[in-house]
Amino acid sequence: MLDIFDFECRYQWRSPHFLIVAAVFFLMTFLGMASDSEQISSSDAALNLNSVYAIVQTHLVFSVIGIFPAIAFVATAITRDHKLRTAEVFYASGVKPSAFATGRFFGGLVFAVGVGLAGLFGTMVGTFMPWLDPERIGVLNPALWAFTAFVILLPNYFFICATFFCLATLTRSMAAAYGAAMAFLIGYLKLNAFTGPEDLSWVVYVDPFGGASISEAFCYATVAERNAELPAGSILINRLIWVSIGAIFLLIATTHFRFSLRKPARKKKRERTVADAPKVTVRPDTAFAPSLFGQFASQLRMDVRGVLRSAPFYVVLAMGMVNVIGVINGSTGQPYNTDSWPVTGLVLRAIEGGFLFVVLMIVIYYVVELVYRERASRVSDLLDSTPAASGAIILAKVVALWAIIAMLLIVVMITGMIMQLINGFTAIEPGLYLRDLLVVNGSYFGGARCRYRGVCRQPLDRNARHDRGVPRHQCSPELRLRTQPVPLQRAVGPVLRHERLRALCGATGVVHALLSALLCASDDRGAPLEPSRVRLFVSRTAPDSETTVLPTDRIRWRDQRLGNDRYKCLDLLQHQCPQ
Amino acid sequence: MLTVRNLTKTYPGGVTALDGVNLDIPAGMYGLLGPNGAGKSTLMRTLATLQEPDSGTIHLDGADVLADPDTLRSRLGYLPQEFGAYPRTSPEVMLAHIAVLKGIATEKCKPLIEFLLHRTNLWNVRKQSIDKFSGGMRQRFGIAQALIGDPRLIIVDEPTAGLDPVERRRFQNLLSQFSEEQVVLLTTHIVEDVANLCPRMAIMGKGKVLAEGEPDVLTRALDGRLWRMKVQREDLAALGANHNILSTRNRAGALEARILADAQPTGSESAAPTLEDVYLATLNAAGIDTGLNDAMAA
Repeated sequence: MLDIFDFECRYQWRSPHFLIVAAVFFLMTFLGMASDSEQISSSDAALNLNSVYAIVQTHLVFSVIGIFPAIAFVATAITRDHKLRTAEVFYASGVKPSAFATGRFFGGLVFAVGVGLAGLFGTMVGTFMPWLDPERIGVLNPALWAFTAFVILLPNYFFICATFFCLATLTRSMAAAYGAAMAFLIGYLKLNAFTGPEDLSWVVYVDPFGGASISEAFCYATVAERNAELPAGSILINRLIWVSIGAIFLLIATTHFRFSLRKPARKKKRERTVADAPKVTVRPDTAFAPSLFGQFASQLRMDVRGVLRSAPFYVVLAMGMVNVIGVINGSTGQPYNTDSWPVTGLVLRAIEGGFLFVVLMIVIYYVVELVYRERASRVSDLLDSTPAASGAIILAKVVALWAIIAMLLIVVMITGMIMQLINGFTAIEPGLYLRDLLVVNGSYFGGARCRYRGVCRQPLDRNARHDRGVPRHQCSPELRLRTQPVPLQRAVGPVLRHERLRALCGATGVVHALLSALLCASDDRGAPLEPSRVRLFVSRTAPDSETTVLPTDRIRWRDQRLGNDRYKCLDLLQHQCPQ
Repeated sequence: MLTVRNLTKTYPGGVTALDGVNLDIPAGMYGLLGPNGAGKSTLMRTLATLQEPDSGTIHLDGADVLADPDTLRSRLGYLPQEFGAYPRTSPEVMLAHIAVLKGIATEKCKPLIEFLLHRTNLWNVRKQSIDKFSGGMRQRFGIAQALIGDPRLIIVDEPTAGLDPVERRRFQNLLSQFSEEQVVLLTTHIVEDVANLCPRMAIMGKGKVLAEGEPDVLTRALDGRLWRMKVQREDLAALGANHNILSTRNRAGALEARILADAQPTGSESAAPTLEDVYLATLNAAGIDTGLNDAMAA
């Protein structure tokens, strides 16, 4: 076991990852301490810069940020051998599986903790910088640093590493570990968001990082106490709970780790052996009836199936759903302390803010995935030697992406409707949903390159859309307020109604994608073997691949627009709200 | 009948993969032997219309393949050396997809696929994911997809590499069942496959066809010219200087060299030639290293 541990440490030390991540953590905490602009924890001007409260809070935040590097260290430690095909060598060496897994885990853990300590060291060095206000630097308190290292960082990293190490061991998949980490992170942030300071009684034990215990300990503390006193109370019990949970996960991982070269077999029922049917012995005669549409439809089915059967799709979708439900709850509950119905307009707004990034992520990921799919799974030679038309297959991929987007939008639409019904709002407006999601946000179809940025940057009038169709009596005060039209300010050039504009962008995107499909069909990018016929699949690295049009412009546009929007709301509330 | 005339291909890096290849391949199984880098795969990929030659012509039953590749593609069965399937996809689904792409009429797909699944012994696993198949099952799936559409030309590139002896035998049987009327082109570097399966064969090296004919005839040409002789390892280099050694092997604790010579070398006895001797003699004659120099240097 010690050999394995030693090997793992040497391996990690030789790879540049540790040094890079540790350097980043060091710099971030160092600047957080030593410069005014980079405040990590919201610090109080009355507190010392190196107060117990500030430092513990900072490193709580860094424990959370550290999830991903920590997973990288421990999960690669156990999945690496399969990827590098060195598994046989280790497995044949006669080491016990449990010792192997334990050694690898602690090897990875050392480096994960090392990253956390690099951060702590950054803070420590930062406090000695001569330009800091000496009035706000308290005496150096060794107990504080020990507390942060042993009560905050070490248990946090141990828990995180053990949990995701267990997951990576059981699934043998880095993607599964990262996906679960995303879900974990969202869950954790939601846990924080849903609880105020008055509701910490149970959260102090549920918070795996111990942040709630710290908040509880300092809740009513004075400045002097926050500066110098180490938090007590539930923190130790919390640590005990989560270290034990981590230890259980570690135990599961080490006892379930097997030296088999294949992925862990599923249960028997997955092995669908099918009862023998009467044997066909006469070769059926072959009739050819090539149909372009048939080829297109078959490829479309394969590609949609491929996406719907891949894990990242569901991970990202689940993230989006959690988020959008949270946003709908948050935004329709009591925006600006007014009680409002979840009218369709508000729900659509919540969807735009909380879900459409999911669509964007899925588009960006799967546009590449779909285009590259045949090569990655080595099907391309089989397909290329058939007489199928390249254009039909490329078009199928474009349409598959559209189908996925449409499915996502419909899923979120139904979710929105269910949320409305749960909140007692029964005037469901499917038409409004469909128009907003499928037409107004139509530019997702085809990942449009928005060429109308100049126009899009104008402040756009959203009010008309949001409140159309909502009966006046159901509008909240806030909504009624916002029905007053905001004039289009500083309009440059022809003023387009933004939904028409976005529909237009969508249409051009669709045309663009279609053209890409057609152009791509006559475009031969030099594959290593110089294929004679049209390659179906554009290289992943080609910088200007016609079919991988990424809607990056839209990101900026969206941010810009939401920014404007938020500004407008506040502006209205401040200046036009009847007192 | 597949006719290949003056096929040449030089890759941009300057590697000549095909150098004036001429072949006449009748219906039935045809074996193509050659060391790695002989140009076999380039020839296969060219015949499968996946890449174009620099010059030369290919005709199948009189039709120009290079001018009209789609006609061939609908009657082509291609089992590449390296192939896969979409992840989490069963042979049933994958075969149906390929059948549609080959242009099989929709109503004929289902019976055809059932037939192929039975013939390749994949019926019981037709709903399992191809990812989880063993090497032999994967190759059988490969041959099933190649047989879709009653192909006139079947190209199988190194089909038995990495299979265990039982699976290899099973695969050979499967292949021979389908090779009555069609042209079946089999590349391999396993001499035994060709000896077992192919009435005709060619040996390729350095992009050229070095020998062509029936395995028996080629083997018989070495009758009376092949000798075997026990040697000490340290004497091997001296023997190699005077004689054309084809191969050495360990037999009963001693080293036995097989020598090609018109006159019997002293101390040797006559040996019955095998196809492997033909293969090695052909490569030796063309100046292609067969690993003997290493053995002599050792």
